[in-house]
Amino acid sequence: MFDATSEQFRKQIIDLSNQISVFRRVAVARNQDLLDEEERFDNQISSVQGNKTNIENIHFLYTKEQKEHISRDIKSELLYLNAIGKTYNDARARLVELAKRIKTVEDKEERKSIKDELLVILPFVEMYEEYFKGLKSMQAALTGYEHSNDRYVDFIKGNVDVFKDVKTIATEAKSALKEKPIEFDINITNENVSIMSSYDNIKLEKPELFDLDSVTKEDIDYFFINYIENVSKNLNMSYDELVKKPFNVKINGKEIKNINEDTFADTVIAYALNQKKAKKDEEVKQKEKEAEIAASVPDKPAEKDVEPPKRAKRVPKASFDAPSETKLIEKEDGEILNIDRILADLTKGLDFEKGDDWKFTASNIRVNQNFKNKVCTGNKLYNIVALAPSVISYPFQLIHKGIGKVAYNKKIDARVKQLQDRLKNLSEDELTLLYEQYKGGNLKNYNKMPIVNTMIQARINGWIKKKTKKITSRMVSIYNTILKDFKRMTEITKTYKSSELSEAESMSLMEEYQALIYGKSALIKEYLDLSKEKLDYEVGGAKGYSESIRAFKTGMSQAGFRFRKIPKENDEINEAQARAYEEELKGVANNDDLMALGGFVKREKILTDNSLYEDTLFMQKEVGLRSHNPVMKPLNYEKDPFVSDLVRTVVLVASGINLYNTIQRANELDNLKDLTEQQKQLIHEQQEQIGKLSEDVSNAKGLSAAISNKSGAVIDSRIAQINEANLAHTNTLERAVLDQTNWHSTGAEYKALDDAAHETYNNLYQASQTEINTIADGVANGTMSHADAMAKLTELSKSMEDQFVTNYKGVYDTVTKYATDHPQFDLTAPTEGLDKVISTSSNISVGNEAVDQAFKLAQEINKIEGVTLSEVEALANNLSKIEAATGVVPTQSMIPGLFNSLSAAALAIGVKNRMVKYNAYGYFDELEDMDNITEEDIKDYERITGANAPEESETEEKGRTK
Amino acid sequence: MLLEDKLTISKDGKEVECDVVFDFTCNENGRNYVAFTDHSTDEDGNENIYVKSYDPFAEKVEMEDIETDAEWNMVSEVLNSIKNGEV
Repeated sequence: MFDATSEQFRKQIIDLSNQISVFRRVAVARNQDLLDEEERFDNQISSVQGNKTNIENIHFLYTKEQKEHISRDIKSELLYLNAIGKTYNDARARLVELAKRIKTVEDKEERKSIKDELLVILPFVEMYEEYFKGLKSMQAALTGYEHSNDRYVDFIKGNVDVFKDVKTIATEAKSALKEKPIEFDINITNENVSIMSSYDNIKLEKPELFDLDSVTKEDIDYFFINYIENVSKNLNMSYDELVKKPFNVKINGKEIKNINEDTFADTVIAYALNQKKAKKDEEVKQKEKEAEIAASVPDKPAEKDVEPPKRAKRVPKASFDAPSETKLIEKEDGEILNIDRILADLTKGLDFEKGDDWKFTASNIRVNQNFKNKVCTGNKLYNIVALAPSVISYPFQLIHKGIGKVAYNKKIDARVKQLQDRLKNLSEDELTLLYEQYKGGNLKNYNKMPIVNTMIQARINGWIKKKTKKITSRMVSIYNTILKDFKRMTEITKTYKSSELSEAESMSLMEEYQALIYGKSALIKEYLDLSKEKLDYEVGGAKGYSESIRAFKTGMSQAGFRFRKIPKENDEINEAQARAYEEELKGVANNDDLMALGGFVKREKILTDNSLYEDTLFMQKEVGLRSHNPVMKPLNYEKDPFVSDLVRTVVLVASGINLYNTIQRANELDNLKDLTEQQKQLIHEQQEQIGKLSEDVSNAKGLSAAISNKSGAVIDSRIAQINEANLAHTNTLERAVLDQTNWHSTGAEYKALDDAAHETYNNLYQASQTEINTIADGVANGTMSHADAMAKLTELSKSMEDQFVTNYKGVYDTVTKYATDHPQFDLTAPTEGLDKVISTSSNISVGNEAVDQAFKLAQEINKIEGVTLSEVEALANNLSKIEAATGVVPTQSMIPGLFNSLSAAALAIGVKNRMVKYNAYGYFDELEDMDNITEEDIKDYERITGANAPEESETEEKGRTK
Repeated sequence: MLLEDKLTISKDGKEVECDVVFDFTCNENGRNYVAFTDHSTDEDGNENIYVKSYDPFAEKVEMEDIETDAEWNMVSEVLNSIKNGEV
């Protein structure tokens, strides 16, 4: 006997249960057939005798064949049941055992276990018994069956009794008897929809046909209603009674469930539409196929009469290459993509107007009544001032949050949004077409509204940026792979040279070496192709060409670029670079990995070795022969510090000095402890003074976001910094005019001033930065005390400040004169800024002195080493901390000063922390460093691989890999 | 809607109270704009109006100068519409 608890036995029981269940379903179907047959005969008889319901009057004729067939089925099923009889016996015995046990067991776990087992065994046993009995009964009934009413009645009755034991079967059979469905057999082809309906043997004479292309829901509804009405009349039933019958719907042979009166027509039409679409797709495909075939099959030459040979004409040689194949891009709906189509669809129905170009509109306007009265009378005129003073405090009511984006100019917004969506949904093909064709003189063929062009430009720029980003990533990946592999190769070389290697080790190293070389020419080719592709995207065409040169020449957008040392030509370096590139390109062209790799590395080495930078407080200054970036960061034309440079360079330097001072101050504040009251008071006074003199660093937005209010009192040299935005604003107009008139000549006066100023500032700046860096290094490595550092910085700032003021004055005179002579330019902002610098220039040194004194007072304080940006920011925010540290409640006037000092310090620290080599270019952090590759490495490479000196080759194989 | 707010600025090292003359929200960028005056005048005798903008939804509100042509044009149009009695 099986162990009924075992997993195997349990699985067997379940499997058998499933099998029996299948047999039962087959039996149901078979018995249903029998019942159907009975019903059919019943109807036939009743149609003759007029009494449908009297079963006992039915003669049920069963052919011999049918009987034998059923007998065979029953026999084989019984055999099967006998075959699993042992399992049944075992299961039954186990069942009996469990039934006994469960009455006595108290333990919960054990009861659960018994119950679980019962749930598996019991169904099997029950099912087995029922089925077995049923089959036995039918077998008995069929044995000796004869054509007689009584036997038939017994047979039927016996079956019904059997089915009663197997409840589900009987229920299904009986319920099926009662609810005859309305049958719909629907066929949908490319030509038509045909519906064949029947109920209770009332069938249509022939299927109802509808044309596929023109059939409508109304047609189907009309058909349905008609049919039901006819049938219900025939059967003496009401319409409503009949439609409640179940529906048996098949469409193209597939049964469709859950159809009723309401959903019938919709379902048929839905399928019809699908067929229509499929038909159309087929037609399109067929056309394409035919077109392909037609294209491939040469035209049959028309039959002609044979003509006498003619003298061959002289055909002139084509002066241009044969046109390339026109590639047609087809959309899903079959339309051919073209630029006219794209542009037409973009603006269809949008109805933009001329004034729609990025106009800002106002809502929620609140007006002061007095002001309104004055304005409306026209007696008072107002002047909106470009430069607004700093706001110290504002009432809470001012911050009216509105209701989000309330009162949108819905008219414009909806159209803009729609155009944005359309642009967003353009496919790759469409974007490519726009980029390639919608530019330059072609724009005139469409004459689109400015807003449309602006938005298309933005979309294409975004698309290009994505593309170039991908390209850049791939370039970085290739660059890094090449350099990493080369480095590994140099390591192998060193190992090979210096170690005693066995033959096996030696071979292994050389194999690795070979593997590293393999495929490099292909990689480098890809790198070069990507560089070209990137350039094409960023600077394509003649206009781009000019723009890029101008961008480089004017040094736009990059802080400090204008201060770079513009080197003289170095013929030797130029020559070496050219030779290296020649080697690289030759290698690529010939699939010569060795040559390509050698040339690439050599060229990169020349470029990077000659790209020299100096780290300064604010920027990285280029001082080398080259400014190499392996992934060519694009030159940016958007910002132009053309005018602001004039003042900003000075401002930055001056700020730098003071900020550096305040770094120290910030360090100390947190640790002011055990000071006397007098000392604290002095600090208080100093802080107040600092507050009056300290700067507004509103342009350092990210850092000063931590500061809630800006100081009203500013170091006036820094006002020019605030004006920077206005300078750019005014500069835009100026530059536009200057560009048109070639500013190099008409702006000579201005340019001369700029050049002179830059020369002065460069020298001064250089000197100051050298000094600052010396001081900073000294403090950093502990060779200079803070006290000494402060003293030196104070002294430095004093001496520089005098020179700054002189220069400011010189600049001021020229700028004001220039502004007077050029009324078309609004230079109010820069002149005002300069004015303020000059009138309050002494504040710079006063501020430094105050800082110096405060520092001296706090000498007993522990120094904070390595203060981080976040600490300073946190300190700036934390009033209570300041109070705790100083014992002084920061006053309204003090807070801004304090905060501004700290924010300035935060700015400086932040800038300094961000200064890493080449970081100004942004990409270099990800790139492998060429510094680890030496000249010797390159020479070794050449020697070993024979890439460039075949006469010195020492390799076993030349390794000219493909 | 009426407005009777004041704010304080720092001018030439002194704190000066100003009247807020009008404010509004820009539909396109969602920022609020505040125009205020200290009743000072320019050389032509025109009263100076200063304008600052801020993001009303920012955690820390910062008053910023207006910089772009679009913003300037918008402020001018608001002033004009006030003059014309449209507001």
